Amino acid sequence: MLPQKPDKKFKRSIAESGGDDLNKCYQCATCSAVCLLTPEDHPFPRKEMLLAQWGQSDKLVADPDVWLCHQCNDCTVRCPRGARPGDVMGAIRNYSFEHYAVPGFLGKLVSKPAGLPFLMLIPILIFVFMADWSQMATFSGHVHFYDFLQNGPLEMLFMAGNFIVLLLASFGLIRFYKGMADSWKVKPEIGFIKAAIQTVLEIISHKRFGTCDTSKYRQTAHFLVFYGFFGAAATAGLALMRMEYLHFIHPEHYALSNIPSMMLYHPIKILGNASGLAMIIGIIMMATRHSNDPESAGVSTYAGKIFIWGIFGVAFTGMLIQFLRIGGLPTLAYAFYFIHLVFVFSLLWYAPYSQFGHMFYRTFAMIFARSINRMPQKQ
Amino acid sequence: MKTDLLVVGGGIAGITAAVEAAEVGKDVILIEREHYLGGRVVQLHRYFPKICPPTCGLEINFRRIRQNPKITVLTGAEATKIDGKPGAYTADVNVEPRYVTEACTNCGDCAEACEIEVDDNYNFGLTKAKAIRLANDNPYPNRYFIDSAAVNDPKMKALVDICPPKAIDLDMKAETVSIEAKSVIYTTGWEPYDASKLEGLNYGVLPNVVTNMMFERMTAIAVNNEAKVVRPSDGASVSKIAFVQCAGSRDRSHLPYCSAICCMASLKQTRYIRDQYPDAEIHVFFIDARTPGRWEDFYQNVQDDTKTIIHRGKVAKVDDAGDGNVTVIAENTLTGNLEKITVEMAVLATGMVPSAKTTKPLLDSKQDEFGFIWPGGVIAAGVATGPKDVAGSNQDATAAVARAMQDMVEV
Repeated sequence: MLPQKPDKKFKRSIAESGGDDLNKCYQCATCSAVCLLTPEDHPFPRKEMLLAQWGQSDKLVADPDVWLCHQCNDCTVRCPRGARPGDVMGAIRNYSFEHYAVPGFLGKLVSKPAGLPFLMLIPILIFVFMADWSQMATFSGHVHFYDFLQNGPLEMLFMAGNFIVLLLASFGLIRFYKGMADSWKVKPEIGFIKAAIQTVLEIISHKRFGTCDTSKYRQTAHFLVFYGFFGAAATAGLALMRMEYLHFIHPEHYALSNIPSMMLYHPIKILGNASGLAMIIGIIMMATRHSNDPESAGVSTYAGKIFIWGIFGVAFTGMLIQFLRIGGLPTLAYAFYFIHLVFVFSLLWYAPYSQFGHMFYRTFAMIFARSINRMPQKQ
Repeated sequence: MKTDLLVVGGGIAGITAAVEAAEVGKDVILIEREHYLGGRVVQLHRYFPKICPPTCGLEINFRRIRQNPKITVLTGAEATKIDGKPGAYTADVNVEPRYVTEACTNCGDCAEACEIEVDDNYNFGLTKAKAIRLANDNPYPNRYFIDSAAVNDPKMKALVDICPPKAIDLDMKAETVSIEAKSVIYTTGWEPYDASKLEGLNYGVLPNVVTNMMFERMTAIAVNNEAKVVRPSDGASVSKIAFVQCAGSRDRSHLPYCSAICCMASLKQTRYIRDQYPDAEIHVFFIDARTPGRWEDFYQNVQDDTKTIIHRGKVAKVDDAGDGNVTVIAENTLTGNLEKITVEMAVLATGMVPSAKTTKPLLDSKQDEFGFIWPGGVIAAGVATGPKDVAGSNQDATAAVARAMQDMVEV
């Protein structure tokens, strides 16, 4: 196959999202030899460094290895040239989000700070129209979020939105998966379903993160954020179900302004608070590592920052509105509920185009790799 | 003492500078920190590319020194202060005692009787050294010396009487020599990079991971004893060996520069093994083979050896494989496969650190961030100015003499 003409736009994108030292690489392959996650056959990330230097974007967007990398940064720390292969791999992933974005303009908007106001405006406007702003005039007393924003329309918005987002994401994912299969040209050893089950079990265990050397802390940090996120999502779902289907909405439950509708020891409350805390602790772990040891933590990029701050925003505002409600401060509680929802919906709706999309792409890359028995080298 | 030229450092560059200046009629004082001349070169088993012993070149130079009354050599000597300007320098040189006078006849009775053993830095700790010894097989001055670490050992007194010409003087004291010189040349040479700093390569942890300079000594010692080079841990013969290039060189965390000679040195060392073990499997791992000019022929000859396998890829890890064996891990970038090759011993091609990095020149000097001396301050030559081979050091030294002679012109 003829090599692709060097993709200058791709190279610029890599340089802008953390891979600006790419051209320092002199192909010594220290990175591939120190990587603990790479397969032995055609290891990464050395070959990705070369392909990226040559601007071979077509190959890279269909390369499962870009996603098998968990950015331990053992390679970056040991790189004799300071070419930061770990960050280049991250930059290729950032490029992939944009590359597979459907519709394409959303990918562009998410990738640049200039797009942020527009992206935020969409949920803000929706909620501005949905909210009952007269509730804001209640400066003290009971906090009833469903009075401010009705549950029904919110659920509709949530489900319809997620359906559309997943549908749009699946266009990109199918192209991605086909791309991998076409460029790898290896007959799968196990079927998709079996590979998928094994992959999900592995992700649940977080085993692969534990293989990292330099950044072992990330196993814990990611574990906390991962389970915190799903815990928080489950909390929201359970709380809604409890209200909707068990009809727990009765004013007598709020008889005293400073007693919450659900006591703090209620299982849903415990789940919610534990999840929120886990997310916040996990993010603090990642953020402190970023400021204390930027080399092993990876370079700070716009894509990384908005993702991390997005998650932090969800967790922080979620915890905060609970306290405002317990404290009986409706105006503030509604205001932060509004912000919380903007964070939640932005995170979900823009997931395929942001770093949140790694949950789709990495999972599919791991499924593909597993199906062709492309597994990390035995230690 | 008055002289035209003071040369600081008695390695190959310093020797050349001294001889070149003296042979055009200048008075020269050559000072050397060790008790012998020859520096790193005398430690080598063979030179490249002709694979001849370093005595070839050293012997002829030592004879030029011996026959030339214009050269004064001070060994065990280190400058403590140098002042002045071109045409008028003054220097204080501390000369450590060697405790053996010129009466020494090199009979060797003392060393035979000597039971005291000291650390052997000359052989990089591979063996222990007698406290009284000749520096090497081709020493200049050709005279025994006593290691200062053992001079106060009570058993040393017995040796005084054993010496037939009564050449041992344990009361010898260090002295300071004042020198006036018209010019000064720094030829302070280099130290091997400390391989224990190379994370992942396990030097200092695995006994069969050695450095290239150690391998020179191992081979030289073996050949002197008419034996084959064996691995350090158990003396086993070598059937599979790996040479690891750029061990710390061209690496921002260690030495960011190329040390220029390690590729040829390792290719040369593969020939040591081949001479002794016709069937041994030799693996060389490099980033680039830097063998410019006529060295390319040497490289091609090594490539023609079917049992010398050259891998393009830097070794990032050397792991314990049990039984004293080690596994070198690298990606072969030409095949695109991760290679884990278990060998009996691994030789790390460590680079050159200029001695002037830690022992700063006593005169105004321009040094780069790595410690190499640049033009514009003190006149320097050899590896003090940048990594280079023996021939390059000699050319550099000759050029330095030409510069130094300008300081000697009376106006």
